[in-house]
Amino acid sequence: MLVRRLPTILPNLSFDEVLEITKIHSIAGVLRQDIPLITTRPFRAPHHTASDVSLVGGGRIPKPGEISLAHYGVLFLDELPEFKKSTLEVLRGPLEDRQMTVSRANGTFTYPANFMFAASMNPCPCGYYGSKEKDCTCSATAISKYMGKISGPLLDRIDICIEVSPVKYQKLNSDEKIETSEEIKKRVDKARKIQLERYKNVKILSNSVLTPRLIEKYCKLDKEGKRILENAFNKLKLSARAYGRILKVARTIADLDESENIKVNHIAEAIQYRSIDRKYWGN
Amino acid sequence: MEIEEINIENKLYPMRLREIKNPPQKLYVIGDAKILNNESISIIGSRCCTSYGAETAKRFAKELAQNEITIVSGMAKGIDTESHLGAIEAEGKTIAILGSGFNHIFPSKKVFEKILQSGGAVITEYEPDVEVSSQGFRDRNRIVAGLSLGILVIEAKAKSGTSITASYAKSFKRKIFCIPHTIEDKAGIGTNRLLKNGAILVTKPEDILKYFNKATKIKKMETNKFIEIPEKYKKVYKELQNEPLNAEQISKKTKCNIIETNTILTMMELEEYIESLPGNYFQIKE
Repeated sequence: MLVRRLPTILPNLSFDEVLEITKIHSIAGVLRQDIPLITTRPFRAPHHTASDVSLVGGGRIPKPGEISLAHYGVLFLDELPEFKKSTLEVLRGPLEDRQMTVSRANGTFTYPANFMFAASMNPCPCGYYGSKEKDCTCSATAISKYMGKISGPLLDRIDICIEVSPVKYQKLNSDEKIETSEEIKKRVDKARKIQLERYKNVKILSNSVLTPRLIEKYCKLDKEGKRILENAFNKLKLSARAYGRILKVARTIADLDESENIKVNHIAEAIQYRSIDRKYWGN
Repeated sequence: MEIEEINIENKLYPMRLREIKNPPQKLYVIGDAKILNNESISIIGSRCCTSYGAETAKRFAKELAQNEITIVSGMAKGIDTESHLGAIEAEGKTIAILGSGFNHIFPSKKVFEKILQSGGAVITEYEPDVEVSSQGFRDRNRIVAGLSLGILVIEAKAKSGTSITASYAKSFKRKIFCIPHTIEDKAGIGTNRLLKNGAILVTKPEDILKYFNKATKIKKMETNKFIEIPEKYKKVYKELQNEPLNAEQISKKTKCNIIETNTILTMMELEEYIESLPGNYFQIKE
């Protein structure tokens, strides 16, 4: 339910983006006749029985797969560990390069695949590991096998991991004030504008596509921030890839906060989204 | 890695084990065989343990080991592993008993190596090629019960291997110590039942030492940590002193918004004041 709301807070598409998305959908033959131009960000949620080819694309004359149809939108994999391990591993390349090259006897095609990857999973097969309300009935082996479906390299490419506690009944019908999608979208749009303004000379759109050289330029940390990141690096045993990704996330958090510099609390929040990895996939 | 074979007639063969009903005729040992006759306590409990169980096992193992009690356990996940690690942390001795041969170390080679590095011993009654089997684990439990002066049961669900070890201990006339659990706690049904049937309730390691007339020499390592806590962390730390809480509860109790609370929690975790548990809970780190 939470993830289905994700497209509602994403920034609007530019005209070029609209054309690109429409082209891909047209090639794949999934463009609907009554909607000749796709003007909303795609949301693709393939079922966990999906094959490798359906995800990345293929066929005699290779057609774009789910990841390309999710270009400029969201690819959501529900119940991540239920996917075949090989299916999950094919995502590694596209997540890094933002494109997918499919080679077949008839030719080699490269399709764009610049999508936001979202996924959800339970902490164990029965779903109650760590819960205070109900006992987990899984054996330790079952849990580690389940978690083991998600490989380190894939996990490394996921910038934000959060643990959500079950929602209690009282909360479902309480009148506690919550932020609506419209309000969140306003904040997102503001942050996006800041980024467009900042990167107008380097021809990129957002923080997510910063190269290492640009990270150095735009994601500067103060002394305290550096100390915290170094500390986190040693404690959480982060990879070099995670380093750049944490800085990008911190930059985005700072933008949402409309702060010019990355402050200590921004970097700490970015690190926090990485700390779950170690708790569940540690040792 | 050299495997030593100790026959039941060998004088290194643990005395107490010789007294039980069907002692293993031969033990295979890796590590220091001389510690097999040390005064020892077996610490046992569930593989799928609660954080309360894991912590208590570690703390008891640590303090008993500091008082020259050797810690015996089965090297399984959960309570067993915590007990071994507790003893190792205290630079004490620990013995692990396997339910399979040395060519099939289960479940963790890591713990196995740590035990040997610390000068402990790993033993089994099985030849090196014997594979892991559930019968092996059940029979292993009789050695866990037989080898030591008494057993300390940390956690046991209604039906568990721990109860098997406890019934062995009873038939070998070993002392059974238990830590209490709340009556709703499913992880404590087995221990509470043992207590009902006459096990000795212990709330601190001294209780066990006293039982064997050993003076305690607890090295006071802990100082009052609260003084060292930086001002900005104090509020959260105070809330966590009573029980583990999740970020949302902490945010409500400290009247601090969730983003700020999360930031503080991350910093505190990185600086090792607290640690996070599955289910998004946080607790104070020892």
